Amino acid sequence: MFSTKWSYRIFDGTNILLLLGFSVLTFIPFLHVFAMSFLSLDNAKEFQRFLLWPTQWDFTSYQYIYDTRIFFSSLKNTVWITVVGTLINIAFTSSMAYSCSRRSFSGKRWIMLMVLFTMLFNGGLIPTYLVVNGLGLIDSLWAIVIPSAVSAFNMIVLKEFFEGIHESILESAKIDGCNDLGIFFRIVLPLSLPALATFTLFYAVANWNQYFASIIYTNSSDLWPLQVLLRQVVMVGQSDIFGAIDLSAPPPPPLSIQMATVMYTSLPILLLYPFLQKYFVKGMTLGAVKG
Amino acid sequence: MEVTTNAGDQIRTEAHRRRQSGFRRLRKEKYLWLLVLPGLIYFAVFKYLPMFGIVIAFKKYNPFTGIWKSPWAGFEYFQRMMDSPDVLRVLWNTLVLSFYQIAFVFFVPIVLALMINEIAYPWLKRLIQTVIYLPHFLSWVVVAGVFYLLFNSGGSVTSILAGLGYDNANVLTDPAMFRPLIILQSIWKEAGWGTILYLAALLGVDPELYEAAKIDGAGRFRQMWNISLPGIRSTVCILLILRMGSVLDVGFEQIFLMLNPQVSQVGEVIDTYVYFLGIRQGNFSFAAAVGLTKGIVGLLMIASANWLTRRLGEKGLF
Amino acid sequence: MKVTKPAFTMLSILTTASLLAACASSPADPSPTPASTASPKADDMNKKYAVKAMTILYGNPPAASGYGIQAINERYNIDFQFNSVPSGDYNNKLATAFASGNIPDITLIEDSTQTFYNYAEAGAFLPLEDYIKDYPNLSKIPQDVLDLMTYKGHLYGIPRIRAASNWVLSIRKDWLDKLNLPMPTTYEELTNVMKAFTENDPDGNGQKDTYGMAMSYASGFISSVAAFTPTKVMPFQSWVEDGKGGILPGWAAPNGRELVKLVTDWYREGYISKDFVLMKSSQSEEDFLLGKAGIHGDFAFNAYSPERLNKARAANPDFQWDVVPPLTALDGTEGSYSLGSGFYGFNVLSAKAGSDEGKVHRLLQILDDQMNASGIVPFGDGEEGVHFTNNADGTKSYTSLGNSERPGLYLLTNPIPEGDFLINPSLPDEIKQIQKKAIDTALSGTPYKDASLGVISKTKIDKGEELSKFLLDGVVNIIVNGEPIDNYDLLIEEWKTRGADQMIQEMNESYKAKNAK
Repeated sequence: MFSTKWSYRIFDGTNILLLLGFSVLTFIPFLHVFAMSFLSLDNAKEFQRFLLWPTQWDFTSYQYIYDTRIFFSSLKNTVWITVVGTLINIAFTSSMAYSCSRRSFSGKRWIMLMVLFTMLFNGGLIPTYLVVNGLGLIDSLWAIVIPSAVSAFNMIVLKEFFEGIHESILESAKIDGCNDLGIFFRIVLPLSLPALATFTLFYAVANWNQYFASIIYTNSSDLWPLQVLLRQVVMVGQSDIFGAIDLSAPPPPPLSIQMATVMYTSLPILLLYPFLQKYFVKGMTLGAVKG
Repeated sequence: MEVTTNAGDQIRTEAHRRRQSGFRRLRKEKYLWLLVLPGLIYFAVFKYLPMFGIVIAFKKYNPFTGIWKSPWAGFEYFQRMMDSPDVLRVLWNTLVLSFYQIAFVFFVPIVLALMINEIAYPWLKRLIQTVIYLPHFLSWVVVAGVFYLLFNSGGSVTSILAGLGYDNANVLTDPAMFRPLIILQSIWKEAGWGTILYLAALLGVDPELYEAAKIDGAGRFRQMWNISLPGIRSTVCILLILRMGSVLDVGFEQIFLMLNPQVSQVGEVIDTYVYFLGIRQGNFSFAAAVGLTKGIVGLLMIASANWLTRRLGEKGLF
Repeated sequence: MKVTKPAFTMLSILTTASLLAACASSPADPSPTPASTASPKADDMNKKYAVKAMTILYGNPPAASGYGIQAINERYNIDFQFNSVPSGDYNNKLATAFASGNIPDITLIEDSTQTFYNYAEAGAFLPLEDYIKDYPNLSKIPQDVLDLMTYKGHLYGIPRIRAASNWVLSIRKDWLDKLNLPMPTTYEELTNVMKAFTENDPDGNGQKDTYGMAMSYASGFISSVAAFTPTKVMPFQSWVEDGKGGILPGWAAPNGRELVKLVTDWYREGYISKDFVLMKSSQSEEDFLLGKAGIHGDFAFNAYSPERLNKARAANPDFQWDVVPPLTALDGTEGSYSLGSGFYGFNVLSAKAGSDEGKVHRLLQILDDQMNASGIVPFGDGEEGVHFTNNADGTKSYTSLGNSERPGLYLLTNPIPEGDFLINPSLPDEIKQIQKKAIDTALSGTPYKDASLGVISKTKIDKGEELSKFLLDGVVNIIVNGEPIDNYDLLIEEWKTRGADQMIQEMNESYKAKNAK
């Protein structure tokens, strides 16, 4: 027993040490980005150093981005896209993945092949645009969330997770009189919370960061999501224009604008993650098997 | 009672029976079909309908003239792809880098996930997870900028290396360092995020197995090796097979940002090469031809990987 | 990126133009140039048209509706839809617009490249040569600029005119003075100055932390082109005369070999940064402004701004800059800087719009007005008190409403600069002086243009980019690896076998044909 305890301790210790080491390595550059976002025009020399902590708390860059006329509307658009988009994503993906996970489903094989095929071949930008255009979705936010409703990769992997649920559970539910819909909503979904939380996170991040579809499918800056605005601001900052946003004051240094952009992009998602944390719990899968 | 039927009747009855079971099947599975319908419609409309556009690869495509009216070019763009004097070098670079990525970058999240899974303190677990996710949110532009700051001739890491005896380390311009640099960069940026899937998969492993192993006297490492790892084996296999489909994709933006003339011998990959050759000028036909070729190669790779996996006893993708 | 810089400058020129006009003694006349004087042909101002325009966005996107749009709608009796696209994805957006049939009436095309020729060939654009003579400002556009957007005899574009002056070399005057050096006039003298800057501690801080010339490399373009153009070596996409009646691409030009030798020496000796291949233009610019390097090349109308000076003085109060006159070429002939193409982007009209003559005239009227500084300027500022306030010193300040919806934000083109450039009168004297000096210096002697402008060759369109990249990559590798100059000859040989030979032949045929006219 003594030796087990010590071997456990050593294992844990080494494990944690290695992980902490890796964490430090990933954290340091992020700290640097954070520090740079607070620099302003008068300490331009600091840009050449590898700062680890802000030398000052100057929110000029954040303010600059905030002051762009469409900051709030673009933030609103992004929130809409993320919420509505992710709901659509999860709904379409999980329902499809569920059916394809049932062993006896007759369409399983060819549907999976069909989905896989789309991961390798696609028509390209213009044909897809023509389809979206033909459906009248252009110039609306729906053009952002519908053409990307299902990610083939996510669907295939989610199906694998669903397949991991013991068939016996589903059989016993069938015997109890549950139909496929019931099984889906009352058994499979609750038992798959970790997987669902994972893909919710994936989809949410993708929706939050998306910009290309917006540029292609919408023509008005009122529909811009946050990422398009941020990219534009960074580009403007790098092009040496005198006060693109506000002609009466010089803009902050381009690098600190760029770093502030990163903060705007990542912080909301980092806030989302702990919220999803509670779904990443063990235990729900297994109680049912024994019963 | 003996029923004699002739052959024709027999066939008709068979088919009749199959049709019967077909309809019965459908009715039995009606809810499954209902659930799969939204996704099917999505794929049909937004993925398969635009696929007619693949024909662009065989035409001299002009967006104004339209897909139908643009003149045919046959295999001209494929020929151009093959005729390019650098095509072999670029292909080789792509394959080597892809191999490195699969060999090194692919497995790091698995190892990390296993390690994180072993942590007993939930707060520490959460802390480490949050921190290692952070680089995923940085754009490659920012990452390239950070690496420049660290590794240029006046950079912090360069000074450290000089202190260790490596004078004049030109990490960013040394062709020999390019591939390792890209790999390290990828690991740093994406390994943390990649653990999410594996951690979710690890939750599906029966904790009783660990108990049993503990009683049998297995140490932590042994438990990890014999229980956790096999527990996620099917997930790993699927992800690996899928990864093979994109074997010719090595990440355009990252490489593009790290390229410079001194490393282009080893650094140029298909996507960056195609970019310089014509995407900038809106040459959609050429891009379509390359995309089609990549798709075919990817298909072959997935098929082989899947076959191999099944051969080895695993379930496979299909 | 090359295009955006001058474009931004144009916007600031416009701003200064507006300031200049406001200071001018002529009263600001807000009434529109009546359509009746513009075109006698059918344009009934009572007919309302829907006008859709697409252009590249260089700043904060203006409001999609509001005062500015309304004012424009009223002035021209149109229903104006202004679509501004972030520049990085413009090509894709252009393609989808043309593919789907939702083609804007006025579209900006960045340059005469394969995209332009393909669309022109397919009949996407309206030929304009018969129309422009009826408009006061459109007809003032120089013919040689118009030639650059002409295809098969038809004019398709209305260019956005920009200053002709191009790159120029800047130098730390205070460093020259401190080390008792005269302004360099030849490449030999330049090299000596660079050596002195690197080795003789020009900033007097006792440390060897300075070097000669700041250079950067991005997207296949070595900055500090101003150091190369005096010896007639242009950026790789530009061509120069080869002295024998023909033309050649930049680094393959007659003096190219000598220049490669020289820059290789510079690199080896440390007169240019060892990292220049990795640096971006903003980084090399910073090296110059913050006192690491003593020489830097940039656009004449861009380089000497108050922001840059402030940045430099903040780091070093003794900072003094000056303009280097064009150096004598390496082969001994007189050197001069190069000229720009005279435009940055041009507007095309959709062929579909051509079905209604009235609409065509309306569209051209809009463009014509915008090219007239005194016509558009007061209109573009909006209402006083709401969108801007007049300051005591004659300058204007825009309110936040002004920054988001005044009519000037929806411009599709810009006024033709009178003379070469409008210098903002509200700038400090020191800046005004050096800006004028920069422009004069850039235009001194016999500045020359990219000889490939308006010269078309099929191989250049098909393979031009990859050949340029191959050549430049090779040149840079010779420079940084310190390879012997014989490798340059080998490089040129290989480059020719890859298709450059054919390209040069075709370009020369086309060039001779063009000049025979």
